[in-house]
Amino acid sequence: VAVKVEVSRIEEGSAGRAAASGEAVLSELQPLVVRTVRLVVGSGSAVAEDAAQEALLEVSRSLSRLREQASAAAFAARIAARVAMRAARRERRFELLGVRARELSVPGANGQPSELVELKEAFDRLPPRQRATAVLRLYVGLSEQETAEALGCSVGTVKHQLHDARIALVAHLADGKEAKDQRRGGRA
Amino acid sequence: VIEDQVQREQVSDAQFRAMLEAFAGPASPLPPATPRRRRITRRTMILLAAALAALGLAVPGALALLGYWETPKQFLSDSRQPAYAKQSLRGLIKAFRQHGYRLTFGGWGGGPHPFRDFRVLGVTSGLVVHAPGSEARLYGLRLPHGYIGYLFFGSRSFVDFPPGSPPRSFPVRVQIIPTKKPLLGPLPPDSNSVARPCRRGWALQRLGGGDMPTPHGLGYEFGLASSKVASVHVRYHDGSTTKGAVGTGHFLVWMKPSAGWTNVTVIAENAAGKTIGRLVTSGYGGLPFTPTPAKPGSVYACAP
Repeated sequence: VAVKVEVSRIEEGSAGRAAASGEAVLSELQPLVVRTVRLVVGSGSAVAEDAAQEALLEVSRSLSRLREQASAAAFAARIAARVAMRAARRERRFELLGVRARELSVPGANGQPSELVELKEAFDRLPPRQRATAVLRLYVGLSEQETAEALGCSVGTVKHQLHDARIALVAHLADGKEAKDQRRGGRA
Repeated sequence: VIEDQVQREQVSDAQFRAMLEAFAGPASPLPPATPRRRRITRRTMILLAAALAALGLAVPGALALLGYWETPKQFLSDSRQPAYAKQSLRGLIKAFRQHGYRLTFGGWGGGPHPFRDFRVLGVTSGLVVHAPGSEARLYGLRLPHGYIGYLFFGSRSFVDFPPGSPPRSFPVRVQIIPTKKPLLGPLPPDSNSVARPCRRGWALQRLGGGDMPTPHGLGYEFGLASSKVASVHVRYHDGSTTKGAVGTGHFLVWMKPSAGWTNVTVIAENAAGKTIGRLVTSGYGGLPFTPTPAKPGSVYACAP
């Protein structure tokens, strides 16, 4: 997986350069942080981009606490997940009030196959914690143990969250299909 | 069912990853397209409307804080209100609860059609006038069935009780005024006494008055004051004046007992000190004596 490669590159590079400047580390961590936050908060929303900026700032402020360069990716992912979940929860409350985030066009997101678009829509309906678990495990490529540490929960909870996420995804996809069929039936 | 479906229609890790990679976007945060991050949907409007409605319900409390009017419960627990006002309101509430309100002459008892559900809905903050060594207060009452009411109090010294007189109820007058023809029962015998809005350009509207104690006590007169009225005073036939009070859309003036059997003029002035209304009344409060007799329907006279 591309991201896994990218993460291991960061780890190797960071380990090899003990004296690397914070700026260099940050620029290496940036893709991981930005994409993690974007996926957890909701790709294509203006709020996700703001949260990504916020997470980058928080990572840069916390770099002095980073003891082992080798664990930089897990360290950044932990901060990104925390900021993203906070933003996603805030956004859920806004949505309950009927205030929606403005949509942005994310390069590369347009023209994706409809199955992926449907899956993404279903994914965006998952609770923030399930989204964060899925992103850290399946996109960032953290182990179950690392994901548990990043989210401050047990390994069992990580497994449980992923399982629940899959069930909810299937249910949301089924709902989506049903709604589509009904619309088609109505038109006919 | 869903568990079974998951078994059959499992979202594979590969699909999951493909979706996440497809929507992960660029490595840098995107610049905002518009200054505003959020947009408002119809649901927001509905919630805003609901919030406004809730605010409307909370307005009695808010208005009480601003000093406009209070619910009876708020009034009775308001430390700014004098004990005699609270005692009197309690008595009024009790009377309404026990007897309702009967549409007879003056309102109390005996009539065939009592409003059993008559109750005090709210009390306006008091207007206070200071006579030498005493004070008088006026409170407006919000009442049901198109009625408005007033509680007028004089401090004990206002009515000059003889020294050593036993402690007794303080002087209080209750005036209940219909603003439309009642649905039940007849109008009181003074059937011209339905307060109606004054014509455009009005400054004062008399609603009540009298003297306390009757007869030959201090006179008082109260009513509505338009928003243009900044101050009121009473001018006597000898040219002297006494100051009244204006607030929350009402005025209250007091008259010297010496004014007694003469007419006096209540004068309303605007903020610039210009006279904008004159209301002739008797020195005992109420309808003026001849040569300016009350015309039918002028119980609640408007000025100018």
